[in-house]
Amino acid sequence: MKKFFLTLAALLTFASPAFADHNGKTHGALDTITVGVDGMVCDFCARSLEKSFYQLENVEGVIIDLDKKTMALEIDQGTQLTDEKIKELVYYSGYKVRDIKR
Amino acid sequence: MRFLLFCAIFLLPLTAHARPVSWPGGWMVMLMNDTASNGAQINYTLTPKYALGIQHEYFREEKFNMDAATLDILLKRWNNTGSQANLYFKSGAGIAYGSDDTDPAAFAGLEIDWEDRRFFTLYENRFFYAGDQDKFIKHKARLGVAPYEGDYGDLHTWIMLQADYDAGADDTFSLTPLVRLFKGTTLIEAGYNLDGGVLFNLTKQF
Repeated sequence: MKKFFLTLAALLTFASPAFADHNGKTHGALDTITVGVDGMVCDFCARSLEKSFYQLENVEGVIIDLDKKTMALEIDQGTQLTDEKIKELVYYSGYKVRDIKR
Repeated sequence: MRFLLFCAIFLLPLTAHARPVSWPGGWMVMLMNDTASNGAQINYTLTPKYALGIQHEYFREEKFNMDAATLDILLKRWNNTGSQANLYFKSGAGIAYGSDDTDPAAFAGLEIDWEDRRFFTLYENRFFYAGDQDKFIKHKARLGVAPYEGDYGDLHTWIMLQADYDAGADDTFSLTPLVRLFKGTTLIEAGYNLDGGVLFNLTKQF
């Protein structure tokens, strides 16, 4: 019986439009910003981008694509992440922004 | 002595497998083992251009240790769409000590590298001084090729050839084929010197 309720609770949690992430933070829909990053040729080194952007509270996903040399940032819908902040963090991670698409 | 000088070339340069400056707030732990020495380094990146660390090395044949504080500086980085190049200044200062003597020790050198997802090149020099314990000037070059282009998060593989030159050693020139593997924040290198020495390095980023 206990297992049933736990399963039901899990289903209801993930079926709802808002859910809690691994930090226990509840959030809903996400916006995606695609950032072209110059110099991103090494997986080992590109870890710095994840480290830098996950420090921001409204960033829920950092998806690196080495083929396209892009980084997709998933941020909480309705929150802001300015081009200037993106450029600053990319520079701090050791790279250069090529373009930003929203 | 000649053998040690020749082999010692692997020690300090091997701290540079992973780039010596990572990201602000990032820690790096490196373990280096080769035919001549065993070493370990921990460094912390302060800014996008500066990293501070501590380094310990033991030169097995000459039987001396070196403990040093290190400062690595990214002098210039060239970011292009499909490639990246870097120029670093690497240095350290501390003490070298054997069973009897203790001497001041210092080293400095430049490293320049270029890579895309298929090819890797590197040149590095190092000026090393440790009083009566040892002193040398060494040069290192590497060429690498990746047999495949892995996606982010995959196991990445590089086949590399390292050439070392030390004008002060009897064996002035040496070649070491090696394999570099990395996945996530862990990097491993293993090689076999054509003169019979084994090379093994591990780098972990935090």
